[in-house]
Amino acid sequence: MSEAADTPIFAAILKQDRPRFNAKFNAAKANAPAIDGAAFLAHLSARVAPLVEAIHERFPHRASSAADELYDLSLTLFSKNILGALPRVPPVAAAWEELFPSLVHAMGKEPKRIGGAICNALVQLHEAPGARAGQWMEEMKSLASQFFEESDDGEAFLSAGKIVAWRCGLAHFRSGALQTARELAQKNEPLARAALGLKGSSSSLESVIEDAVQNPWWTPQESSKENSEPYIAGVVGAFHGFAADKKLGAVFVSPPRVVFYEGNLFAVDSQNCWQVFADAFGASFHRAGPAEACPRGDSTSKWQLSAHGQVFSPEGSAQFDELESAGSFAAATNTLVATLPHSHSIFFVAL
Amino acid sequence: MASIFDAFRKVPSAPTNPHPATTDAPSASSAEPLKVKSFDVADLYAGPVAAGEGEGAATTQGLDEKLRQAYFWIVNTAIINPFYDIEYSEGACPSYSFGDGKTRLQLPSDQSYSSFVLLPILNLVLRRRCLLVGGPGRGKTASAILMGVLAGYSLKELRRAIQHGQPQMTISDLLGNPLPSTLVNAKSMDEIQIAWRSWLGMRVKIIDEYNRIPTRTQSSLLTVMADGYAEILDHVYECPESSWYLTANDEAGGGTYQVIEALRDRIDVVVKALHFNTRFMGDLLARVEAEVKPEEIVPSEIVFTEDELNEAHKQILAVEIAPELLRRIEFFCANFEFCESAGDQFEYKTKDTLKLSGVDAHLVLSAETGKDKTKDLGSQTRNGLSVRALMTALVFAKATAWFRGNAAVEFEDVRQILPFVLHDKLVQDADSPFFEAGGNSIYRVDKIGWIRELFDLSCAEYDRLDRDRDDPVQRFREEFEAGLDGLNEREIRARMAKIERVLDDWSKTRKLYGHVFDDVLALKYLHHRYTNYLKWLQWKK
Repeated sequence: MSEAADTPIFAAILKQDRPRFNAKFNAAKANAPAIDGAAFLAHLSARVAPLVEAIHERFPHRASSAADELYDLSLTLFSKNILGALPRVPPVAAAWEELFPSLVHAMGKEPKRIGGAICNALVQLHEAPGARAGQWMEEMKSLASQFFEESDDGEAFLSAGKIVAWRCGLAHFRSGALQTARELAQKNEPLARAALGLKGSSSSLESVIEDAVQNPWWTPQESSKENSEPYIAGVVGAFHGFAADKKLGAVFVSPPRVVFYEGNLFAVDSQNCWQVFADAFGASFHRAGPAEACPRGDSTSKWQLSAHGQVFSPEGSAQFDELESAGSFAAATNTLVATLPHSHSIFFVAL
Repeated sequence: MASIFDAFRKVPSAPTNPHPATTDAPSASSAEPLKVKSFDVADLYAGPVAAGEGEGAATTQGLDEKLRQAYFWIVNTAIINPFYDIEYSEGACPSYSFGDGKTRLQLPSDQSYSSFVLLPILNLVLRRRCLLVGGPGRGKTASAILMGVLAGYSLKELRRAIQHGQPQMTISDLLGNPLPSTLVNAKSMDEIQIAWRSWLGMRVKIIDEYNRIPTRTQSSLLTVMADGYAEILDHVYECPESSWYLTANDEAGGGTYQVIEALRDRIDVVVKALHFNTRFMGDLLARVEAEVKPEEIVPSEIVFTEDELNEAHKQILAVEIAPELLRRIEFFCANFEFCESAGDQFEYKTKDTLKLSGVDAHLVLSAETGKDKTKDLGSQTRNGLSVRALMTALVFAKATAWFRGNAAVEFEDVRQILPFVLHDKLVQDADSPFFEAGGNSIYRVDKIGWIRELFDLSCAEYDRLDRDRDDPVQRFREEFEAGLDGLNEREIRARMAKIERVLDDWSKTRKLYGHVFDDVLALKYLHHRYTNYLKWLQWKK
């Protein structure tokens, strides 16, 4: 433990209520015997104590309750091996060391809620194939130092976190994240811009968000008007056997086909039907049912794919040799999706 | 109960009462249907860490789910209580018969509950009065304290505020004292200031061993419990609506002091502390060794704010009771009040009239009336049900349904909860021939089983009479409630004639059982409403 002299407030809090803190630890360990007591102490010393000291400096009256909540939160994380000697979600430890200290005001107000939410988000980002927990951490640290050094508005921080999480690969959160961006823009436009990754953009935020809503291939760097030629925006999907490597979309047991149904993209192989979310920031796959439940496509888009790999419509065309002899294709407003008969991949063509 | 020592911090995961998923219309082959998903971005913050209110909490969790989580935390962690005496089943369930007495054990097939935990928890959200009875050391006070912690009070506050019944307890001990300085100097009562006891302002009130409170002090307690205020020297303290928990070692109202009847009558639900099952001694040992006191480490996720409890109460009152179920409850409740020999005037033929007369009830109740006393459910009780008891029964049925996540009360909710609500309300006539009939003597002792049997018998009779289809009172009531506007004299007289014909038929063919008694009075009521309206029509002419 860092010497009690370095963290006198936390040490005093622990000492004052020692039996209760010990009872909590014993109870947690009884259920999760793998909790490493030494690792827990080290965590208290290196991460919790400094945070409590920092909270005490700014809000002396909150230090005791914050210590309590952070202790409980730590126990929960250790019980589930999210933190520990061999943690299964390393970014969470990094959050305690690098992110929480930048959020003293917000953490001081609601340590368990804000801290718990951030940990949950990192668990999701870490475990979702293709998602980028490290990027999320870096961007959130940057937002914390820019906007939250003196602010206790944990709600705004979490809202920004939703937007950043979408941009870090959780594609299924896209529409919710953009709605959050709209709402956040009303209260704190600079924060909303930063969360969307807009650097130095002078465009109206509302119009930028609207572009993003309409076009899944929107990126902060791209002007929606510039690139009017179709292009391959991404390739996802792999054989189910690569799932252990967390390869994005490694869910298919056989080469899939694709359809659009009620605006949603589905990819079906010989066993299962998957709902696919994909945009410029990533993709995610969610099982929707057995293969036989896969709906018929209902898209009325005029974009087509020829057997020679030409993507065409009355509005234009582009040649993609890699899409020659496609096994299936489906098109919606901004996207044409294609598969090949001998591949587990899905090709996304931005229109 | 392998999970009894699950993490004391672990709150059971939602959903705690998973209902079969409502699926889309199955495909022609009845295969698993397609599930089109949409995602709430707030779920980014849902995960292994329950973060409390707001973002990070289970965003779709209702208050009923939170209460279920509280319930399961208590039964899995806080109290070693491996009982499921409130049984729900879907379809057939295994049943076994033990011993010469043919004692029946049933294995329920749907989520079932322990009354010792469920009823206090329902009482918490209903803000009623719960009596916990049982021998010493069975967790009655500990259970009450847990309820206080769930309501957001600290242990310190609760321990200071528990009222411990003891023979020297005075009204001042219970309610407070006038401040001596103001008492000395006051020239009128208004100038006296009262130092009220802090427990009066709490939303969870715990009275430990209430049957050890002297009778005089019990009267003061009654005012607080029944009327929600305390009074000393013309000064009144208005208490907030509260959930009450009283404990006693004797359910019959005995003890150091006899509990006054008015106070006993204010108890809404009686819960027995069940015995300790010795096969779970290991769990007890583990608890002793870990020095864990559950009331000290209640997870914050299952602590309710005052607003949440208020909201839960509102939601419970909105739970529906279907008319068909309500009629069964009406039919059941109607069985008990009637006493043919208690009065000459029809309306006075009640057990209440008998009681007020002071005549030996046994003499009157055992008089021959021509009815089969083993079949007459009313013969099994010495009293009927008060309005207060009926209201309590309905509210607890709603609460049970709400707790189980349903928008409407189910038959089994009523069947399971009625015995606990009516436990002290229905006074058994142990001399009734019913209890002499084969196998029924056990109901002299097991009141819960007895009331449940009463309800089952009542429903059987209801079905035999085909009341769902053949209920003239219901038909006449619906006709009446459609309104009288626009009806002429001829139509009114026709309706009155129909009522008279039914009464004539019943007078010749039906024995006067309790439910018939209430039906007859209901018809009299309707007939008289029409009579008044007819007179008005004639006056108007």
